[in-house]
Amino acid sequence: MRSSLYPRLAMQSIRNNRRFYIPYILALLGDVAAIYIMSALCRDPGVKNMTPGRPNGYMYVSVFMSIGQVIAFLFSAIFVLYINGFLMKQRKKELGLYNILGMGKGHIAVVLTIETVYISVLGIGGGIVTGLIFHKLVSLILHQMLGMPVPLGFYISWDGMAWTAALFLFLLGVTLLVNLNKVRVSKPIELLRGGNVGEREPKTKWFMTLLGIVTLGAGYYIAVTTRTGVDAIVTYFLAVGLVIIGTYCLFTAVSIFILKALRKNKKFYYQTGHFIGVSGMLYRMKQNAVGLANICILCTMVMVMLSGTLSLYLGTANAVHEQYPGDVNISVSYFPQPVAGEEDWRPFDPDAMLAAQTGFIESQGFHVENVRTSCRMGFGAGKVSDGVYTTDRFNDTAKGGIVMITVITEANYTATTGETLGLAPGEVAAYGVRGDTLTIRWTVDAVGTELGESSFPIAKHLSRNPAFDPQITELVTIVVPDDAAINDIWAKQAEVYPDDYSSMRWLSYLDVNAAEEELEELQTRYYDAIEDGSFYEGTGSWKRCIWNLRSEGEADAYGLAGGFLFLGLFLGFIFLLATVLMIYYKQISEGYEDKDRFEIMQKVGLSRGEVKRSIHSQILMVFFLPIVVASIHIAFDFNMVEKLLTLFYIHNTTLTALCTLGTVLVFFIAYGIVYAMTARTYYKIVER
Amino acid sequence: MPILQVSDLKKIYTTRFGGQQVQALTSVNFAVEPGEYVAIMGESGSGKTTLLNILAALDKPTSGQVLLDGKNIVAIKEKDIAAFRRDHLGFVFQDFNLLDTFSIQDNILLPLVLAGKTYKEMEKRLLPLARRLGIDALLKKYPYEVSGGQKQRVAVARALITGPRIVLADEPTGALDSKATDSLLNLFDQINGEGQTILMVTHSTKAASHAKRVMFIRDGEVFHQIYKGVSSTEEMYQKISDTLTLLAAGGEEDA
Repeated sequence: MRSSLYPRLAMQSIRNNRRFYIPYILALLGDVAAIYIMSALCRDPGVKNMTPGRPNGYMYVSVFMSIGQVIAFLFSAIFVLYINGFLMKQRKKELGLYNILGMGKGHIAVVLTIETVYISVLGIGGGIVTGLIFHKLVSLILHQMLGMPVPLGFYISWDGMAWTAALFLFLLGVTLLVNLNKVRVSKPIELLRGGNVGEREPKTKWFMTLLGIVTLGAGYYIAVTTRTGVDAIVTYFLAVGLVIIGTYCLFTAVSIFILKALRKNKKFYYQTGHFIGVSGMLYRMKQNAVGLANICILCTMVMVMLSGTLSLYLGTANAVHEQYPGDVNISVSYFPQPVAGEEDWRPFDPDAMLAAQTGFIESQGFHVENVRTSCRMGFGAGKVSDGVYTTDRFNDTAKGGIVMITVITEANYTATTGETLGLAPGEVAAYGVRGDTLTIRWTVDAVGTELGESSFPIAKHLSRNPAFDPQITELVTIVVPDDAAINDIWAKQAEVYPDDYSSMRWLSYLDVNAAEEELEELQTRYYDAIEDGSFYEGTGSWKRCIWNLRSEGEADAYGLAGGFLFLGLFLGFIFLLATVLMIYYKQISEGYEDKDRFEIMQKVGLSRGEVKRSIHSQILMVFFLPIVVASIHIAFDFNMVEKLLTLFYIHNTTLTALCTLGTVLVFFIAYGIVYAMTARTYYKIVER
Repeated sequence: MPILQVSDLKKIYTTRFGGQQVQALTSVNFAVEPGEYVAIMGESGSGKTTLLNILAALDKPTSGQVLLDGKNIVAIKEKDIAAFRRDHLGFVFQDFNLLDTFSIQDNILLPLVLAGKTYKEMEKRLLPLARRLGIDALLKKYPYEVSGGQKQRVAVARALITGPRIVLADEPTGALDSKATDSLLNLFDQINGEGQTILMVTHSTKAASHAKRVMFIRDGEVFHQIYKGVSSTEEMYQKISDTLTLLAAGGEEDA
């Protein structure tokens, strides 16, 4: 008899508190499912076997998923503990009543334990079942994203299941211990009284207000002034840290500072809407500041992740085409003049090289079309000012740091962009430079011997970089009219960098109408063919000749971008789940607190309509504040994300901006839906 | 003309399940003249709270009329009720019903803010009133910083600030100690002396003994009433006690 009482009580209390427990269990279920899917994807052997022995996107996914699992679990842990704290606060009264009605603390502990068992069975069991079902779907989406063939069969990862279950059992065990400890140390009368302790008016915290403004300003400043991708990597976490601190201060201190200032303005304050709103917000901010800051930071993370990974994924096609304009891309490094230590030098003959290459491909039964060739070179220089550079890289005058100057011919520019520039001899077109002329001071590096300077009138400023590289340093690209001009610049830099001069690169892009496998076969046969020394006969002197297939670059790039996007979507899903639930629980707890206040106001003469309007505006403010602030964060963060993306050859500002705007828009809509749904619960509580 | 005229007021509650009917008010008739100070007494369940809720326009009667200055408040449209209550009635509750999020000053000003008055006018009304009620030193404080008696004075100030036709008080001394009770009742005497009409619902013989007239309600009807006339508060106290004893005895006879 007695032993059946506890499970019944436990079941009953979950059922009675279903308004709190159902979302909690659902969230748990979602987290468990997500983590199971991630761990199953890490382990799924079916996928690995699909493409044996070749680096592919799956490799990235596997790595990303193992990292993602850890992040997702840490996050779930924080989140579950947060919700648990909220649940226990709401249930204090019930537990106090049990205690006063004669249940010992030991008995309460038994009930709580049985409750945890029920929740575990529902949450973890249900989560794993959900995970099993959705794993297949997710895996299909993933393969689609990576551009890989779809695997057959249905994979169940027993390891993943055990691992996921163990993690969450541990987590729920911890929450149980926390709850038991709370019951142990509390007095029944305290439990009975629950959260009703008189609230004091929040004080203005000057230090926090100032700290908030300073950290936020500093974070934004760093984000906006970052110039290169490498800088972005270095400063990203610093900026993020500053903004997080700033956000907490903003919500906890700055908000109260502003509200108090509003209250001081009597004309503004003593109006029906403002009167209730401002004073209500003052208290809401005191109680909810940290929660709102959490939501804000979560929203920001989700949006950054989604917009960043989406831009990466959508920009990949373009990036691949820029890096690999042809199906087969051949790159040859050479020196246009004899250099020291090289005997028997003969000039590199591009035509002979092209003939050798196309001849080989045709001899293998393929047809070469759309042949484009070009040449380019690049070297580092110190930036004196915008448009003036010195090859004495570490000279004091080079205040602007190191820039990478890439020189391409107009032929190259036309091959990649399809545009013609019509440059006259001596003129250049430039990217990354302002002003009318571009000057390079030729000074022997580290020695200081001056060898004059070259000045080029800039005929055209390019808005897009035609020879894009990851922005490890600032990039300057110069388009010169012909090979003679580029050879001339090469000779100058060889003179000033005697130990580490750059080579010229001759590039040819060939379209070979063939399938991916055929191209790979062709490449293998090419490597066999060049074993014979006569292959390159007549091409002159050069250092290195490399084949790059677009298909290989494509698989790799899509693997990376798809893996990132997938991870972004997945973590985004978990974070969104958390955000939604935090909003929901906040609405409920707010509702209970507001109930009494609005009852009093109604007695004193506030109409139902006014109550509704006032509640609406406050709730709207409280719930949309985080996402509005998050959007501002995103706006400031945009520059940084853009610079980071350059490391993946993405430099399409419009695309990134659209992805960001789209993400923010979708997020606002999702947030709005969640808000509308939970607001109904809130009204029900307040109006009852 | 009476300020408040209640005629044949009925209220029947229907329980949510089973449709059982409970008659809270059978037939209530009475009138309150301007400047009167009326106490309504009755046991728990006698219908006094229901009556007060109807007078306060918080609840609708099943039938009957409530005329305030000749206007039937039962017929006022739902959307106008809040404004009507705000402009014509003042409320004092047992548990003060002050808002913790507002300072004392803002609590008092609340009805004026809701009525959309300018801050200038609010200021003009606030200070003299606060002085009269002896709470002018508390204005900047918060409800949780002052005593129960002071809270109730603040509530009285909030009720009076709109210059209501009638103040409705629901067990105003219910949560106060004896000293604070005396002080509040003296305050009521004072404001009534200045011409304010008061209608008070109470259990407390002491509170009722301050009123000029006491009505007794039983089983949803005005059962009896006594006038203070020229008798002292102590004599009135005695009269009320006697009546209550009689009522209790009568109640048993009925049962």
